[in-house]
Amino acid sequence: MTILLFLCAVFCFISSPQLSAKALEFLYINANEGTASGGHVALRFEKETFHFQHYDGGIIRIVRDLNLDFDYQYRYLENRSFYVASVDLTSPAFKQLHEYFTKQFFLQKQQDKLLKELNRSLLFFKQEFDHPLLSLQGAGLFNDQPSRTGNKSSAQSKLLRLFDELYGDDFLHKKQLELSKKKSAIPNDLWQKNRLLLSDALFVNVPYSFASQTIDISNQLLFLDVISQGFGLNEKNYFTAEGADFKLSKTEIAQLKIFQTDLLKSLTRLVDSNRPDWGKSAFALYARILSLELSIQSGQLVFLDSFKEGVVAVKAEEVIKYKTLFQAQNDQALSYLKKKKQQLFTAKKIKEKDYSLLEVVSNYYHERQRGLNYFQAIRVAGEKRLAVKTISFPEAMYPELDKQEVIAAIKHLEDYKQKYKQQIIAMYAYNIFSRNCVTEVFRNINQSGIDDKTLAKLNSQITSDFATFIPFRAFDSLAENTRVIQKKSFREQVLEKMYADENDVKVFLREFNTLSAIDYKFNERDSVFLFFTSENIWSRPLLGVGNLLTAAGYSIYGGLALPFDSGKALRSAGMGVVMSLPELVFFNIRKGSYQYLLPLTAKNSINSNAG
Amino acid sequence: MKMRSFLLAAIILPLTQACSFSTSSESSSASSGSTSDSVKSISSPSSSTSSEEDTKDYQVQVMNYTNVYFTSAEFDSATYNIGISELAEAAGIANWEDDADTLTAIGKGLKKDNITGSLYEAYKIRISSKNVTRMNLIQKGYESQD
Repeated sequence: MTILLFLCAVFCFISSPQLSAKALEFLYINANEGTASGGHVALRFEKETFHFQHYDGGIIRIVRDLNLDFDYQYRYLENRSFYVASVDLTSPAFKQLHEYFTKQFFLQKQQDKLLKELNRSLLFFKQEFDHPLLSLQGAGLFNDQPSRTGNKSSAQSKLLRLFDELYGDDFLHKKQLELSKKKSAIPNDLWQKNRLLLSDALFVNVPYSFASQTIDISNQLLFLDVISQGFGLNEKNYFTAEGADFKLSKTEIAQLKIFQTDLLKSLTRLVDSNRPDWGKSAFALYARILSLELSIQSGQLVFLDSFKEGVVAVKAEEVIKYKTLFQAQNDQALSYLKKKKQQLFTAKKIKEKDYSLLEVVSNYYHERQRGLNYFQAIRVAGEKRLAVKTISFPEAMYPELDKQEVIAAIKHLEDYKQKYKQQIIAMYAYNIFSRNCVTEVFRNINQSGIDDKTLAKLNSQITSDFATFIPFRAFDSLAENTRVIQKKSFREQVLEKMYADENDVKVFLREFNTLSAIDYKFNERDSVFLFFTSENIWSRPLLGVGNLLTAAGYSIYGGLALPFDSGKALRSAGMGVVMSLPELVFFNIRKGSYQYLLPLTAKNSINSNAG
Repeated sequence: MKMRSFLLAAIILPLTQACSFSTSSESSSASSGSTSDSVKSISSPSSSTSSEEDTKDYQVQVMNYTNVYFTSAEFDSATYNIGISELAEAAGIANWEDDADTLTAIGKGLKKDNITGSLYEAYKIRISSKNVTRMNLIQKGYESQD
């Protein structure tokens, strides 16, 4: 019995959360030409990666990415390998540090929102109606006129009936009157805050400005118009997912009807919400309800176009160049879609989150299908899980304002904005030696004030070396007594497989130059170069000379093309020369990058040597 | 290794820039966040996660935001609501006030902040707009958090 008690005590002691370790990962991201040619560092907490980026205007700010997103961007598209040093922290220290970085992320994001609100107010008083900051969000999903037939859709009829049941007769009209009154009564002290004190410890509340209140209420009024007058979905903003895989069975249609009813009830509650932004959500929700109606009626899934406006698109000419890749992306997406559709319809109840994911991936698939079949441009980014399209703020909805008050408000806002910028620069000004992506990681670790021996030791390692403002110096320093693993870049993985499957000489001769390399295609991100020099150190000077000559030759063309391409070719040649110089002395920066690749799967972001 | 890396730094630093430079076309102070939406595709993120993981991740976001907000700001319902709306929108939820996952996560966040008693009750009423179902969900989240 005594032995048993003793063993229990030992077991409890060992498994105590106070003592269990959690791995904090420091990432060094290898150099490549472009945005981080001196390398980059990041901190990884389980699924999230925090790092600091240098922005226009000379400031450095925290960024938070999911590991998959971060890996995809840096390791795959930018083709950089990672070196990961894991440091064991106690569970509480790990949690506190993660919370600290999360807090900094939210605080800084909120500071950005303050600037956005300032800009919105300025634009509003200057009546720049076409500016996106003044747009009515969600209204763009609908036609700008009622249906010609005058017939109500089934969803519209159901909605109106629900309004009657819940709120009584004439709800819409009464609500419109209430909102119109509210809009006229928005306080005219146009920007309240005169004192501004930004802090990296306090979350700044953003004033709900006159501009935002007017825009939000206008959006709500417009939504009520859309409901009462029966505006339908704009045909450009939805599509039918074609093919047998998107056909609906009777059971699935029945499930969609239940889901639609849930959303209708939710919408009736939403229009009576105290949320300032309910108008945008109401548009999105009603659009979703109408698209469900189309699915139910047709027996085929119909989805809203979920792409954000103005996103990156691959031009039609380039679609042909990347045809194989896009087809592979499509095949992968279809396989995922089939799985997700099955999961959606076998769940007890359809949840909005799950439906939105199916919609987003269907957009991804449909976009490539359309582009490949009809040789059209393919939008490759910007899918949103809640479809929102915008319209410019209607001039007719702009309130009557006293001219002198507006002039005074603009002056006040511009002064305020100036103070904001000064404070931001004071807090976050980038400095290549004292305030960069490396220094900020360790400054924040230090400032977190967490009492932990491991963190204290790391801090002293970093501060004892004068050159740790350089990303790889800092990493070398902290990785001295820690376990380090390498996560290979995209090209390294591809080459490894090629060397395993094919004759070494054949692979080398094919892959050492950009003209015959199978996986690499020239793209705008890379300066002109001929030879890859990252693989073999001893051939670097020779191949570097080749790259230098290539870039120099290209610069002649660049000079000739200068009047026609605004110096694009010449800049590429110039950067090509710069990137070739280190190669002459055995150093490599440039590795080539990729514009479009297959999606990552979760396992690719796991910390493994195979990864 | 140290000498090599120092030499590399001496050569490279004048020619290059360390650290990542945001290529966002927005102004710097409007772009703190994650890799810009306009260049990020679903090709990298949650496409491969299960529904349960997706829900859990979302709830953690809401809980963390609530935690940060209530520990470092004076309560302002417009600011708080807009913050939650953004997280909900990113997860594909239009009406978060009716969403059980969101409300329970808010409850967890309030508990994590050690908000108790009449202050907790006041926040619960404000956030739920006195709707009993919503208050119950917030309470459920509150009680489930350690």
